[in-house]
Amino acid sequence: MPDELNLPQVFQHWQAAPAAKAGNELSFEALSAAPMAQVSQWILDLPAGSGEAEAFLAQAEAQLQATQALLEAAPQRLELFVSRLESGGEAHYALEAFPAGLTEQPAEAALLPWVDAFQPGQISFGAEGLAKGQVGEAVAQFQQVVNDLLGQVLHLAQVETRLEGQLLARSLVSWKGDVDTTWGEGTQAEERKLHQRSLALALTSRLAMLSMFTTVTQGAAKIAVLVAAPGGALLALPAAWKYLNTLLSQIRDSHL
Amino acid sequence: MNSDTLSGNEPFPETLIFNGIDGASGRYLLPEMTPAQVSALAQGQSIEPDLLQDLEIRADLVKNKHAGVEADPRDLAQTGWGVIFAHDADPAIIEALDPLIRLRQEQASERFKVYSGADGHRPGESKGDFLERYEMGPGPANPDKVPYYLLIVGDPATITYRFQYQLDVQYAVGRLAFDTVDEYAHYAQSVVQAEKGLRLSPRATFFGVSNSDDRATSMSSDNLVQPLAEKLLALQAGWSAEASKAGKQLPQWTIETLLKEQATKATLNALLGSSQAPALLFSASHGISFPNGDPRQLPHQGALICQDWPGPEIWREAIPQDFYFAGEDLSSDANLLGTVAFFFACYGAGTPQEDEFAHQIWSDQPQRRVIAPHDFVAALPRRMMGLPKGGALAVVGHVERAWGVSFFWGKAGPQIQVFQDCFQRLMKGNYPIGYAVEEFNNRYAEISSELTVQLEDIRYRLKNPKDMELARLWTANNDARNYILLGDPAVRLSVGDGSAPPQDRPSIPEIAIQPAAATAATVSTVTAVTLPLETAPVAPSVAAAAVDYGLIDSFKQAQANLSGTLGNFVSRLSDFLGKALDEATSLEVSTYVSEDMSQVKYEAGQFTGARLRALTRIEIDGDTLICVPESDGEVDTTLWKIHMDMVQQAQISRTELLKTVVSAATGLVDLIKP
Repeated sequence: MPDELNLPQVFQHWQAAPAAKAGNELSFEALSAAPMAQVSQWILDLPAGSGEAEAFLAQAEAQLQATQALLEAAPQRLELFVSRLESGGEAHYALEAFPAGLTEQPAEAALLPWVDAFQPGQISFGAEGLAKGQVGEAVAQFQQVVNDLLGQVLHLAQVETRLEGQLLARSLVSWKGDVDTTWGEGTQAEERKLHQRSLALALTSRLAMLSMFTTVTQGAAKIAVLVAAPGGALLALPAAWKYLNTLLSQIRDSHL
Repeated sequence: MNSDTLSGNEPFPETLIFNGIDGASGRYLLPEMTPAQVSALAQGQSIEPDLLQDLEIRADLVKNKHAGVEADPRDLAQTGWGVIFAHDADPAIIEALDPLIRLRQEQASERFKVYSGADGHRPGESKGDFLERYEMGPGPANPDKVPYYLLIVGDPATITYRFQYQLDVQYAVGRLAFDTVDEYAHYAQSVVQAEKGLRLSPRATFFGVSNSDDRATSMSSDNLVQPLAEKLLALQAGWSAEASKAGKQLPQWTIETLLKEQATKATLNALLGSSQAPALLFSASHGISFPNGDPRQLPHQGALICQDWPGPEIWREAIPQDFYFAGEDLSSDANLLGTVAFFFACYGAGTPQEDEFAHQIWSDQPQRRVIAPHDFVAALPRRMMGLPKGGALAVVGHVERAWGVSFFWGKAGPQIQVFQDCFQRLMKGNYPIGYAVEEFNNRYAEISSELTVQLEDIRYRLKNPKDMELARLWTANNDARNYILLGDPAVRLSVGDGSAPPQDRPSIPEIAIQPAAATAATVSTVTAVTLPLETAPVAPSVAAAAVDYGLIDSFKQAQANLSGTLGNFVSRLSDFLGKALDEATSLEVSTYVSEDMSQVKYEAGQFTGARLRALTRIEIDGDTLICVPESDGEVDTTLWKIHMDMVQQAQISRTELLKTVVSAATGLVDLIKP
């Protein structure tokens, strides 16, 4: 899992493949030829008490749903932000010129110094502005996330579900969606359901990670309207990335 | 198609029929409504103030015999011509349209505009916001600022139908929205070829379906299609004689009707599938619709239901494709080069995501009813205009439902003047299609202004609502608004004088573009695409290198780093997609069982320490291989259920993965394009 992402707990069950972390080329092998070194692992160890495993899964599912909803809503929120800036900020986007209410949301507030810095002639090194190092820092973080996502999402995935440490089932999912699953002999219906839910969580969370990237690019395209510089969408990427990260941290901190 | 239909001698029935045909059930799409219900709906709505302002200006101009633009509508140097792309449009599409754009640049000269990049349409931008950026407020077009003919390029989910409706009030607006870059290229070549010497036989076909026990098509056939064809025939005799006196020669149109039992799918197939297709086609029929989520909705909605449908009394089940003519019925060998078509049919031009008419009647929810996954342009006109051998130049049709009030007005009876004027402009005057359909906009402006006055009077209690009158006005208002033009609004019919025998159409040159199916190839090559025009869009304020951007060094460095990172990411996603599309021709799901999970290992492509108990392999063509688990000579149903659950999960997961990767790759392409 990319360290720099403020992702909710549900995503922390992923461990990137060592090969992926090293930045090796992607594996497009079929399951039959894939070396285990290039497999990303999802390991979910559930508590064994009565109903505890189900409750654990339900919380993880809720976190994931909240994340998906946030990803879906983020571009619209940004669009609103941009349109309000455009209608209220006129030609100059200095902080004091922002329409009232825009700074009420932490994610939007975090975006303001970026937008400010994009404007011609604007140099905002003050406490409220954007420090020079922040640009490089955000870019480096974003690059790291992109690399991690590549390793995470486009590799083979091994999904293991355990109950108090005891392995219930293991599925291997190839890059093209083939699934091999091994079940323990005599696995009970309730236990089978646990792995099926775990597998669904794992696969959906991988997609959510990829969707984050889409959301960042969509967000950058929207912010780019405010960037008075050539290649504005590219420049807006770190800002969009920071914006999303702030939103995600709110889910993480809400202890859903 | 819908209608406020006739019943016996009663010019306006007690109930209004909203009868798009639901292809899934074979029934009318919506129940009948009373005028009181429609009236209530109308009273709950109002017209947006900025749109109303334009409509009122337009209505005044119509009264004063001037509407549109003060210029010769056939001279693009006077009217101007512009193309509006979304700000993040795919450069490959801009390049594909290059031949058309260059042609219009020559014709419109100084009044030629390309709105793309920073100058393009921005997300959520209204017509007013867009025009304001170019120093235009409400009112007639001023081609020195914004051209009169405007071609929108992009799907309605990106540049909305609302934007198109609003802009169309004062400008001549068309839209292109294809699925593939190839189709954009075919269309551009078709227009260029049509305008450089094509001379079609002047033949107009009027296709009027009249299904049994169906009042809507009976009414359109008898009160619109047939009288319109007859009227145009009579008018032609007059205008030909006038021209002859003046020493001029106008095209001698062959005007033919295909009515009722002649209006079958086979007839339409033969008509459009041959290279002898008419230059001008008018069709009135039901358009088929499907429920949201039905896999037939996107490819078939708006397809023309032909005479083959036995009608609602006899046929009470799903409508098979044998009864309607859809885009996919046109083979790639078809050639419609130069044709202009007008479809009077529900959803004939497109479908909005949300129901614009009857949502409040059947629901307590204030939200509009979602009827489609997103706004989309109908597949039939797209297919007609994007044909590889030569496409139609334009298709006029309805977004949402088409209504009988378009041609029948209560006790006043049939009203075909608007259609008549439109066709006369095309056939006699050889006007551009965008100008020819202006009469529909005039009617929209007139009805809207009248409706607004009525609603205001009711709101301020100056008047009690007359349900029938209000219902008709409100319906007519929405109906008139929803006519749209697909294609370049500046195209004109290219016909000869009618003296030469009909000839086969020429084909457009073959266009070599990367295979449309290879999404990955598009992704990987797009970075190399260059903008086609020297006037590539760069906002003037941005172009000045001397501008101090603050933090500029940091950003410059960031831009370089990000460009490299994203380039790498694009390349990898491209590899992934390419492999996925090439090799994911099957999906395999295996289920193993082990007595001791701790001993299970994954080696050389299989689990060791476990027994394979069930296997499913699904080929892309649907062929499926299944190995069923057995226990003591019988199917192990418990394991089988587990296995099938896993198969279902795998299918869903793979579909979602591919969709998400495509979406991510598309977003990237938008971001890194020049």
